[in-house]
Amino acid sequence: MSITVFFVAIISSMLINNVILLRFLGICPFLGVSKKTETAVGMSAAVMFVMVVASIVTYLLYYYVLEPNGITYISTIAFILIIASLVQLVEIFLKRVSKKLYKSLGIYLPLITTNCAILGVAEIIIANNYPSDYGVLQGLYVAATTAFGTALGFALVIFAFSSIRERLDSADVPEAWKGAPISLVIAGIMALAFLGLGGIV
Amino acid sequence: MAKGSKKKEMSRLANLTKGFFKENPIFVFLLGMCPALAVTSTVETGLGMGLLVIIVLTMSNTVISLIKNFIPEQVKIPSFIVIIATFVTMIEMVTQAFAPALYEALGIFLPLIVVNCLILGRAEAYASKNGPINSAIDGFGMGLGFTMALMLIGFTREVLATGAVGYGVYLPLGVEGSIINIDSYILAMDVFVGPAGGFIVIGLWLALFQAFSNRKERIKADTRKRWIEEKKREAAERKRKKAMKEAGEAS
Amino acid sequence: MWLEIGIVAAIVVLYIATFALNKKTPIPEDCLELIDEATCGACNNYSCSVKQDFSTIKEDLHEQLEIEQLKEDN
Repeated sequence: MSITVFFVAIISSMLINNVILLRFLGICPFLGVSKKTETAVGMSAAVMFVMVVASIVTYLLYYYVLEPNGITYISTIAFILIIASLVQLVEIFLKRVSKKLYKSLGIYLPLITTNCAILGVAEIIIANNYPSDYGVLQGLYVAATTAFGTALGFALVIFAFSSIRERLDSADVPEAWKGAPISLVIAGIMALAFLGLGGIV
Repeated sequence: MAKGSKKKEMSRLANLTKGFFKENPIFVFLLGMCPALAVTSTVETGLGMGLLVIIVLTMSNTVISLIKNFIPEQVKIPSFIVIIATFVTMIEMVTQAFAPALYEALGIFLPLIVVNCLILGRAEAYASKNGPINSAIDGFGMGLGFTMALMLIGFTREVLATGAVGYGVYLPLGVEGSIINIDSYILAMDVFVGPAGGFIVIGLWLALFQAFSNRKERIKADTRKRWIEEKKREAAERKRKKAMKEAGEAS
Repeated sequence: MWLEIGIVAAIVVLYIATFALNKKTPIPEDCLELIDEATCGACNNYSCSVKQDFSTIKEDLHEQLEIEQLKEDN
């Protein structure tokens, strides 16, 4: 497997099919992101970790357990429960091992259990059907890289947006537009910018 | 029965209609934004998603309210997720069978109904504390409000993008066609079909809603301030009169 | 048929086990305030079904206190 496959996977999932602006997943934390960039970084780190691990586990479960037995219809229930258990495990791990890490990213973990992004990325990876192109095991590497690229795209957009939010506070926004509406319009303009990257790969 | 409990009991009609304007899930609570942005490129997909959410929400609210006394406090959230996931799987299979075009159009957002903040939020906030009939009405009302919001956004996006509202393409209505056909539509802006347009249209509708609710809040706050100031003036008047009377008595 | 039920049941038990374990491990002390802030900040948290701004709650409380004081003065 050439290295270009991984490179293409990261670029395509990070920029060209950006998870927030072009795939509409993870809007809720995006709108609720605070104006402080530290919280944005913490949230992105938590999402990145859970996303990569969850994608790997759900991929393995799907292609080694569910599909050989023809019971793929329970994938929804199985995936969401696995993601939820994973989040609980990560939280236990952080609480025990590192209080500092827990303070910076552990407190966002309960919020990403019901985050559309994690479950959405797992479903997208299954829909992309990597084993037909690369075989099951090689497909696992591509899936993990896609998840990592998606999380990078998430981090990029949330970080950029939290910086914009800081500036937005001191701007003179009309009363009716304060809060979510102006954020959505700004997100739309950012989405327009990202649309320009389409067709590169 | 204390006086406080009477205030909490809403009439059934009020419970049903609160989801439209006062507690609209998308425009007031900002729950369920992910499907709101993604499936509203046409009115039909929005309507289809809304109908499915109504079904799942009503059923899950009812079931959760029925078994709320048997679930230990510790495992409340896990059991909610399991119940909602079961219903979503059933709905997925039904949709795949009866409306395959809708199934293709909704794509990954059909299983994502499980993590729709609206359903879990209503289960946590309402169904775990109220009786089954009230919970069912609440679920139905909230679902109706959600559907109405989705259709509003979808209507705006589709009319601005193509000048016509299609029907029968995704939902299995039997007939296909389109209404509001604006001939030689020169203002067709394709951007509204895509993601950027979705964000901007929802932002505009949200601003509209917030403007109206802001007005009501402002009027309420103004009347309250005026009442407080008047009470203060009356209290100052009374103090002055008392002081004058005492000064009069002393001299 | 039993395989599916078995798999789902196994994962459910796994989730409940991790959830119970998580509830048992205590939170480090200085994090509690941050958790409240983080929880009600992002709108997708179901424990905040009505998203409220803490600042407006404080204003409401101030106004109520004023009204109570005025009533006492009279």
